[in-house]
Amino acid sequence: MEESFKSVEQLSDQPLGKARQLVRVAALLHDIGHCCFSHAAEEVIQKDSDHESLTVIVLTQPDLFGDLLNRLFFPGCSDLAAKIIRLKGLPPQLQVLRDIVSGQVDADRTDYLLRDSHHCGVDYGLFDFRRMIECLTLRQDPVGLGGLEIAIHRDGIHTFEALILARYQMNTQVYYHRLRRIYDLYLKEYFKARGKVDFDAPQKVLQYNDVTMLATIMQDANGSGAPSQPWAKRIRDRVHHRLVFESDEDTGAAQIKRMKLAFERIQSENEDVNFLWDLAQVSIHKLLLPDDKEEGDFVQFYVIDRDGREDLIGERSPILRKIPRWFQVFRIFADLGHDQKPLLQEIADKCKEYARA
Amino acid sequence: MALKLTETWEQALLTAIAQMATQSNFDGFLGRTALQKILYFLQISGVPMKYRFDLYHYGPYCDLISRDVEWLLADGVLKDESTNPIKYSNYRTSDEADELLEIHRKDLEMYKTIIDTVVKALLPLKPDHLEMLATIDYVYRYIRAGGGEGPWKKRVIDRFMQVKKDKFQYS
Repeated sequence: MEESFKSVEQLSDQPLGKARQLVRVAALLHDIGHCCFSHAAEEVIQKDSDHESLTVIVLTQPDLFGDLLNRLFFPGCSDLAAKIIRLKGLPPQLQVLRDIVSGQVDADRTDYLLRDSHHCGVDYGLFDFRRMIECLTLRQDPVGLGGLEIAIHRDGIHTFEALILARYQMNTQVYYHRLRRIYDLYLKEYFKARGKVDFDAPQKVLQYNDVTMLATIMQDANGSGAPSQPWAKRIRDRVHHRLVFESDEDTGAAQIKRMKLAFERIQSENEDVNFLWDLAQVSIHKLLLPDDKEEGDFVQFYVIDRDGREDLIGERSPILRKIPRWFQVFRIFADLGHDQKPLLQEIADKCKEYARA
Repeated sequence: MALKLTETWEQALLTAIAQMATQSNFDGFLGRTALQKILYFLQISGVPMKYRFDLYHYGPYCDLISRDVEWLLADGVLKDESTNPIKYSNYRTSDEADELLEIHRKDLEMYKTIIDTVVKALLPLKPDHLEMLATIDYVYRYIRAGGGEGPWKKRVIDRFMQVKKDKFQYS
């Protein structure tokens, strides 16, 4: 590993020490370009500037973090950290650092699953991360370009399974839960209604955090007739649309098209009710499994035995073979209160019928 | 509006490629590999897109492209004319293609020259030829990013042969 890092010019004098600094910087700062409420405000920030682009701007611009990182750590640190995040132009020798920051077993997921689980007060998302880290190892990648890749010792198979299961459960039960999704829709509408002016420059994005934005939402809810006010009021008063239709967790593209048509039909039949639709989709894992017909788009993650034998993790884990790769759910929400239960039920029944048609 | 699932710039690019095959009455196959590699070369030629390519067994690959094709098929923008779709695909545009292309007409016009040049050059090539070209290019860029000085040709060929083993012969 040392030899590999040494060939990168900026790391050549202290390869391991600088690589360690670099991976820490990239892991800690990889989401620094996120707006308040993470992805909710992303649609209103300037064109082509998703949170990752903003992260790169923050890391490399001299007056933001660029000079600071190069001075505190080593010259070229900010540029290499940005390349780890953006991938573009990343020296192949540093691919393994990228995998630690963002890969199948990465620091990001290991951190946020446990943290979110704790703060949401749920028991989903827990796994023995210390054991998993102990069991991680490296292997030479014979398929790629001769770099190193992360693998797991066979004693870590079960905790790796627990990580993937944690990801599945947190996505289905927390991140893509119907109530979280409806408030996410309100946040997006709220930000759209406020316009791009809050986020049209990196400095402005950095000015806001969740707390300052919550205070702004409270103010707007009390305001007088601004386009953002209805959304702010919904968030403040917790007056939300009700779920009237939810598809299975693995709904395919053709079925989703049918459900969108069902949405339009139910909307035209109930013009006095406001409806919203939502498509929640997330990848749970991308591991290559024994039944895959095409190798093209799957990650080959290896288990290393005590005798050095290497197997794809999908061959060794019956549990991973059963966990769905994708979570894809279509939902329809109606703006109806608890006092309109019969209508709510009637609409729910019709949605089911139309979605099947 | 007939489109229900598709609207993005990347989906319009995929459609524009298939439309060139449709309008030129191209009698070869425009399958999964060809779409992947054509988009790869469009990206390195300067057409902006959110796809990120990693090196897999068949060369540079982005799984989001496969998902976008799935949406385009479901939305009636593309159709698969293959007689054996499990084994291979052969995409052409379908009824709703114009609506999607119209949404991105301005941007498509801006990149028309690059798109035309790249697609015309690559469309007639067989999938394994495209795989070879895209992999060589990917390996070259990857090695260059590692620093040092040329000449690069031998290093690229060595790495390429290491990746592809005996699939291709060098003479």
